[in-house]
Parts: sequence; structure tokens; C-alpha cells
Amino acid sequence: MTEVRPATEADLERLIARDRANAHYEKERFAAQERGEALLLIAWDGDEIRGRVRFRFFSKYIEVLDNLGEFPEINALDAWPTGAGVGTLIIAECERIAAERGDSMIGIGVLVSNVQARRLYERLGYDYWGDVIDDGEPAAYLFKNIP
Amino acid sequence: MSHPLDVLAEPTRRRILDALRPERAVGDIAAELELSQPLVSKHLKVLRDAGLVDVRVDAQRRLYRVRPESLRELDAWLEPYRALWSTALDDLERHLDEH
Repeated sequence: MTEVRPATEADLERLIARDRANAHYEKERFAAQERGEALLLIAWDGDEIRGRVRFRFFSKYIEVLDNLGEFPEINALDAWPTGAGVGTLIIAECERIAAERGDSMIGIGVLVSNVQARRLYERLGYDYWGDVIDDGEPAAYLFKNIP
Repeated sequence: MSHPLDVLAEPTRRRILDALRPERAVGDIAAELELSQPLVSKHLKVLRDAGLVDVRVDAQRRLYRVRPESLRELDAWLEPYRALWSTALDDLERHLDEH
């Protein structure tokens, strides 16, 4: 059974061991959690890491902040192997945390080139809001109302 | 940059500015003024662009606050008109004394 929970320092080592080339990104995400600016959630299947996400407390896109306001954002979502339902589970956990915090919305930016991910988000009830630029690449911003 | 007087001609923006004492998060302002968060966010952007408001990040929240410097500029702009106001009050006082 897959379980999603905030990363600990020991988890970070395990996460980095999986992909050393991107260690600095994982370290930065963990550091942000330590500073209280975001959560780094890891999906575990027993002793195996199956995915991770950064749960931001507000959007990283200025156009979203200026037009929609502040609500949590799903960021750096990755799950493996693909198609096993782990991504869906991680998103559900993000939505649960948002609901627990009393947030009325949650958002996600998806690169225009990532058609498969966008299809998943739309299937999970996310609606298109507008276009944003993500690190120089065109992306679509999607959001979902939290009941 | 828009002139602060043009920006503050909009009543909702004046209410938002009034609500920013002390600094507040957008959700708190929206709740207090019973406005939607997107509407407050759009007005905050206009206020920020005019230099009336700035924002700082405090871990999980972005806190908006009034920029006192911008209000000082407004105050300086009003200064010459204060003389007119004083004159009008003096005239009124004289009128009341005479009648």
C-alpha cells in the first residue's frame, strides 16, 4: 500500500540516491520545507520511494497571484513507474492537505509539451485557467475547487 | 506608473488600503471585506503598481502592507490646498462672529 508523507532528512538521502544528477533540486525542496515555505511529500510503497511532490503554500507564478490570489500549488510532481496510480494518489494527498488547511482552491502548472500529465489533471477535475511561463517554457495553469 | 490619486479613485481600493493596517494576507482582506480573493488580488496588483502597497513573504503567506512613502507624496501634494482650507475656516469664523 502506498503512503504519502512529508520527507525527513533520511528520506532525502534516499531520494537523492535515486537520481544524483538532480540532487541540488531535491536538497532545495527539502530546505524549503525546513524553512516552512512548502512541503516535500514522498510516496512510499513499503521501503521503496515511488514519487514526490512539492506542495507550495502559494503559487510561484506572479500572474496567478495577481489574478486568482493565494492558494496551494502542486509542483515538481513525479511518480514512478508511470501509470501505476501513484501520481493520482499524491495529488489526492495534496488536495486533502489543502482541504485541511481550509483552502478553497489548489492549482498546478503543466508544461504545454507534457500532454499526458495535463490529461491526468483534467481527468482528476482540474480546469484550465490560462497560460504561464515556467522557467522559460510555455505552460498551462490548471486549478480545482476544493469542496 | 499610475498616479496614486487615479488609483484611489476606485472605492474598493480605498477599502483595501484601509484594511491594510496592519499588514495582511490577501485571504484575510477578502474575508474582512466580503470580496472574492481574485478581485482583491487584482486590486492589490494595481495598488502595488502605483507604489501604494508592497508585499513581503512570510513563510507560508504573502503579507501586503501600505507604503508610507507613497502617502507622504500624497500629503505633500495636498499641502498648498491646506492654506485654502484654513482661509475658508477663517472666513466662516468671521461670518459667524459678525452675525
